[in-house]
Amino acid sequence: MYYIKLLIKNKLSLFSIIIIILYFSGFILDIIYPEYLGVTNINSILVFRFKNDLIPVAPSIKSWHLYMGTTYYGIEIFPAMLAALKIDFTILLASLTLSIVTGFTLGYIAVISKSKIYRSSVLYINKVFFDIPYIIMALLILFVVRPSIYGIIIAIYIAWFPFYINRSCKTNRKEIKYAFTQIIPYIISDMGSMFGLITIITFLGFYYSNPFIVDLGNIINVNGNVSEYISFGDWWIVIFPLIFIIVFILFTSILSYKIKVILNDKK
Amino acid sequence: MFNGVPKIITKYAGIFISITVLLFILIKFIPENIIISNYGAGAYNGLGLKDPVFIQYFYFLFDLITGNMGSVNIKIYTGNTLGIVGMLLPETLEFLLISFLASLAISYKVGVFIGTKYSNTNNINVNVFPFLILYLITGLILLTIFSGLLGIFPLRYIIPNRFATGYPWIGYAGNGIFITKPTNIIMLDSIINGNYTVLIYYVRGFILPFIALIIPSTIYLCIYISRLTSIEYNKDYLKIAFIRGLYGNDYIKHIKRNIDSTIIREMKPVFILFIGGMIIISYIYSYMNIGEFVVYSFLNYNGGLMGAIYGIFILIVIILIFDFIIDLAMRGKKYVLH
Repeated sequence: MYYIKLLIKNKLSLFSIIIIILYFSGFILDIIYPEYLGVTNINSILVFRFKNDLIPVAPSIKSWHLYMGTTYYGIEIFPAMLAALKIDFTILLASLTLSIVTGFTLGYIAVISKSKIYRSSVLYINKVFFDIPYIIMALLILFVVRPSIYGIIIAIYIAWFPFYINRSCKTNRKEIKYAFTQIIPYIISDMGSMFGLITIITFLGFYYSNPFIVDLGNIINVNGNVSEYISFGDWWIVIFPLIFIIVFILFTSILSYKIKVILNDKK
Repeated sequence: MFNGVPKIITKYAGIFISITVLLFILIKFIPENIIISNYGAGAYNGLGLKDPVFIQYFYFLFDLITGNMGSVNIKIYTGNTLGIVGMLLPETLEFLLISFLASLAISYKVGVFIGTKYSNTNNINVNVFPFLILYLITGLILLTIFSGLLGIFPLRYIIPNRFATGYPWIGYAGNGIFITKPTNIIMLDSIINGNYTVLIYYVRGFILPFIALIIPSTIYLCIYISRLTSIEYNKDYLKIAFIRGLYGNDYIKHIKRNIDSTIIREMKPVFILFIGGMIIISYIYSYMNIGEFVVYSFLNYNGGLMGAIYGIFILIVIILIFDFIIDLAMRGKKYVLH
């Protein structure tokens, strides 16, 4: 409670918390009440088609659905972006939870264990993982397990849990009871990083089995024709989804930094 | 002179072997018929598939080292894996080297300036992971503005396809992959062959991917270096020196000397981030290099396995060589944790 009070006192942290809560509210609404987007289900991006127009329409203030214009197949960007939170945040929360549980457990055991062999082995395997860029690791795992929602979860989880081993191992034995508190800032900023990674994976086209998946990367990918649409001057199909990602990543990073500062001051 | 060198060599040899083991284990999860169809003719002999798994690893290791990685059949290329990687490697190295050095030079100047002018002695830790998405963001935003809306720079490919027929020193392998003589680095070859038209087009194609690649790492390093400089700037020895007027305007030299080793060590995670960024940027701009090749290889399950594995292997080797050089340069030097 003490930390939360400190966070709320700071205007920037409070604003970051509000923004993050808004994103999560969108995610929860997508699951329990998708009707707020004007559709009954959000299983396919095609449910957000505006008329049956194939050409993107520029942003307009006629209806909130068109505030950010439409993209390929006349898909309305704003509601599709909000709907994308359902899959993106599901993948994010699943892979983040798995990474924390595995990484923290292995790291925690390495800190409290008296076995030097175990600790050295964990750190060495970690070092090997660290020399491979996590985007490459995720793509490699995805290639093996095949693209699907579960595939992306497994890929990000395996690419990410070594970071939690490393973070847990940084804790001293004397501070071990605060080990989890120390990784909270990382959890917050990882939400942004993982959201970005999911978008990159789907933007690169690793979901050809379902080109109509309601996902942010897929919306930007424009069915593999992003360059063509950009060459026509349809800037809104790229810029708005990118702003949507930037805002989340920026405020998770700010909040993470503020929490880290508070924890350091407390020390 | 060679103090600590054997230890560093052993360390990196161990990491190299461990990474090849990891790649091998992952490949073993892929069905054998897919591996055979990916490798092409001679898969049984080349990968030793009839031998025990333990022996198969050595076949795999030998293939990786010698480049005997069968063939690829992907959207941008069909043919021998070693051949395409050999074609793309010089351009990849040039792109990486120029961009990384530029990023480092800019961030060092700006970071030290900000650090001494605007004091910020908070925690030095900056989380490097969220910066990967910045490559996608900067890449697409620059493409939208400068290629889409303003039409100043080309949308894709490093030079126009038509150059392949007009100049004897340029060959074309399709889908934006050019082979130039004698070095296979277009910038150098156009200078050697005295053709400045190609050079100008090359620079036009190079500039957007280059800027998009350096922005995220430069932002990260600027933040990191400015905080590091700030911490050093606020240390007691400098305050006392200022009061006594010992250093005059030379204090920056002392700050730089004290933070350099920490910055050089920080290059390792930044370079790994940089390689990840290069993959994204080269895909967005269809910029011929191993990054783009790796993505297209990954996208084709039935024809891209060998390309993906070999492409990744080459990128990891580049990372290990970079880390090795850093460790070699920094051996024996004290690492100050701020």
